[in-house]
Amino acid sequence: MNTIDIVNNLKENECIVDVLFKAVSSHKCKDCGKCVFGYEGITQLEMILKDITEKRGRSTDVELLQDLCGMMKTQSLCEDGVEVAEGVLAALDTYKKDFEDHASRRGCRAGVCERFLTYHILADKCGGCGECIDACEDGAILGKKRFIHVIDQNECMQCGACVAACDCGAIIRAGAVKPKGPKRPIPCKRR
Amino acid sequence: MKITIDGKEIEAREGQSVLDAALEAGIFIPHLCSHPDLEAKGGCRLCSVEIEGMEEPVPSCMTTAEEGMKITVNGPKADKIRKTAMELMLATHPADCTGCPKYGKCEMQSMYQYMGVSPERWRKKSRSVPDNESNPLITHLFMRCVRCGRCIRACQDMRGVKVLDYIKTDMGIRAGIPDGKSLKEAGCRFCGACIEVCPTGSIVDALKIMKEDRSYAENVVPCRSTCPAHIDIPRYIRYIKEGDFEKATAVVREKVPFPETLGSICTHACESECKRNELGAPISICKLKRAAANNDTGAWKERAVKEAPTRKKAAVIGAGPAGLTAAYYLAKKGHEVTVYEKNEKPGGQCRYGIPAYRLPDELLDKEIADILEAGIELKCSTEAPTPEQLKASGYDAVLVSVGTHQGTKLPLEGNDLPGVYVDAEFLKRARMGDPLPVGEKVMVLGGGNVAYDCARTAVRLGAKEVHIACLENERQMTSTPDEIEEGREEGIILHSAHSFLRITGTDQVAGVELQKVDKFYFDENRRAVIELVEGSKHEVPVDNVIFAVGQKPEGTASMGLELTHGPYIRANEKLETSMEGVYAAGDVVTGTKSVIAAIAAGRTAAEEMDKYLGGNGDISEKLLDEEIPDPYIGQVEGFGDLERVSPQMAGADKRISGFDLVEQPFTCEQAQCEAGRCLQCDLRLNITKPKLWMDY
Repeated sequence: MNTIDIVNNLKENECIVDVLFKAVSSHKCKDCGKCVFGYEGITQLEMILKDITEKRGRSTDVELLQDLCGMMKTQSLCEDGVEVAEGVLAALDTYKKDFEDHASRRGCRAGVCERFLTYHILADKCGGCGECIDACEDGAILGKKRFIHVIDQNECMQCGACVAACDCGAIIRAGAVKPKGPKRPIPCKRR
Repeated sequence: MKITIDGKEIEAREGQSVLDAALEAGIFIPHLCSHPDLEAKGGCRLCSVEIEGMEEPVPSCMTTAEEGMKITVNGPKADKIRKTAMELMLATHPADCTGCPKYGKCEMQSMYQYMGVSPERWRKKSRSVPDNESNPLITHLFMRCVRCGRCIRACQDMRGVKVLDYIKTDMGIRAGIPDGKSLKEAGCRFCGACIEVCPTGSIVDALKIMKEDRSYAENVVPCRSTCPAHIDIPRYIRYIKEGDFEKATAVVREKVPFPETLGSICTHACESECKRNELGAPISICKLKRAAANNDTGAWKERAVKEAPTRKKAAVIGAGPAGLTAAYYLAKKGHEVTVYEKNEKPGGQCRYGIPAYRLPDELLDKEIADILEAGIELKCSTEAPTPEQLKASGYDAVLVSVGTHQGTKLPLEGNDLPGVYVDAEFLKRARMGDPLPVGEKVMVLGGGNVAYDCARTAVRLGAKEVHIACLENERQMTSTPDEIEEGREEGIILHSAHSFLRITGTDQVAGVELQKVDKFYFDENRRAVIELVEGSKHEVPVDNVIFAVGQKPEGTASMGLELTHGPYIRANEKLETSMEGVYAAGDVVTGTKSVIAAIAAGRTAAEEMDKYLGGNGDISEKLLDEEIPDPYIGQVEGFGDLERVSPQMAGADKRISGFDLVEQPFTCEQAQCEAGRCLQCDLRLNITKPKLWMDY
């Protein structure tokens, strides 16, 4: 399937940046090397898209991608380079907000890009046992015995160790939609 | 047709690309993947231009010029494409220019400096590839590859060797050798075209063959630059490969009038520098020269120049290789030349120093006859007047080329006993058919080729046991490995790394006392230091001792010229002596060297003397038309492993029974086969060097 079809067939639970990154990573242009815009172009697309999915995007990246693809479209030696550039341009056109959300580190709408996922403790399930606090190597979990624990999103490194440590099944991973909960530890309601 | 670039009307040829037309007209357009000798591919886009009537910029290397075309080189669109392309290349190219062997000579560096760009707005990536120095002659630093494909096109299309290609690696696509092979395994012919066309430092000459005291071209073709007379070796070897021995000889004759002599006895410093050494053994350059001359018909004579008489007279003292060479070229420049020779026959050391089994009289006679044909008066068995007398008797210029014909003895106890000889006299008498008598056992003192000449002559004169003793160990000895090996086959006993303490005997030589050398070297003051092994003193009983420890000039003291280092004539770079109009060349100036060095000196003397006599000093000759060799060398099965061909040699038993030539010339087939091993290092110098922007 060529890039533009991949973009057009994007499913609800897929992230455009992630899908595009995978399409670019396995594109024919990577195996050729005979023209600068095809080969170095796809190398840049891959690196930029990877950065964006990994929360390392820059505010100028969307513009940079558009600029690069515009040149790849007219300056690649063969159709392959043109094809991938058109695919990326179409994606940028249709899903511009998704790209901007990633690049400005707001989040991954589809909840696919791992670096954008956040961990949360559900207030109604937390028993205040403290197991997760012990398991967190980054000291990102606030609380004490019989208080509902709260994850400090600024400290959390998204390692997921707390999920395994929690016997209550109170810790979940969230994408674009975040669960509501207390901002700081409060006494447990659960007996 | 006419096209317009940046408002300037220029001429373009039918079918020419816009890039080529611009460059030819002196208008610079940046370019990298395009090379004047290779098919354009349009991959790098540095040469993008805007053309009136076209929406997008196009690569000028791929655009054929059309009548009336209006082109803008630095329009905003083209400029953006060009700069972005360079930025993208730089983003994955190592940034440490100063650590690159191409620093300052790099096309890529020159282009990006011209364009003034940097890759700052792009993601950077290093495609690390380990440096590969495991191949002979060619070093691969593919971390610096920009995939321009020039080396691939050179290897595939220009040379037809088809070794290099785009390869896929974990670190991406780059130029390289498919299937993880070495260059040799892949069938590389080591022509160096890839090095020549690489615009970065990805493919470079192996460091050890690039010597700082030589120019680029000299390093690329080291055989030719090492030859004292600069014979165009690759060129004549190519003709031999094609079976054209006449043209091969003509090439040699453009520089030296003694092809077959040199082919028989040259010290061939060229072979030590032959790049094929890195693949095993060098090309048999010397013997190929002999094969060419041996099959020559003399066609070169038709093109030999002989200028109109100048009415100037030159005298040459000594008819050795230096004197005869100078006389030859002076005569061709129209001067009246007289050569004085003390001996019965001309040839100098070639005649009286080198044994007949290496260089027979007939061969020398034939080549000297060709030289004399240029119109030279030769006075043999004649003691020459002094240079001053010669000048007084009407000679306008004089050359002293008397060589070094006096053998020397070391200050050793017993060195004046009957039965002690010196090399020069011993060899000369043997050559004249009036040999000095030798007993059953003979010892030669010395470790050079002359020592072997003496020893092998003694064997042929009937000595039953012949020894050679020298201070140097076998690796340090100046005699060639061939000579040592052939001597060994003929039964010569070598005492290398031995000091000679004294010659024993009362009224006749009885033996030589030797002691083993532990260390032998020259100290910081260039004085020889000899450390002996205690208790290793022993005597070898012999009937004769022959000193082969160096020779010096004879009779120079009475010539009225300034001398140096004892009997040697002092001469400057122009070979002028202390007396105006008197020149000196060859061994008498340099000390005993080689025939080829003497010939080269003879050429220099002729040039300088011609200038002194009012000529232009140009003795160069074109004995054949210049032909551009075919760059398409193609594939040769197992090329890297082709073994050096050896000519047929008589068995040692047969050799020692007389003074017949020991080695046969190559047969034509052998010669063509051996010539086919040549790497043709000179071919890459025919590849056009792209001009950089500073040249416009």
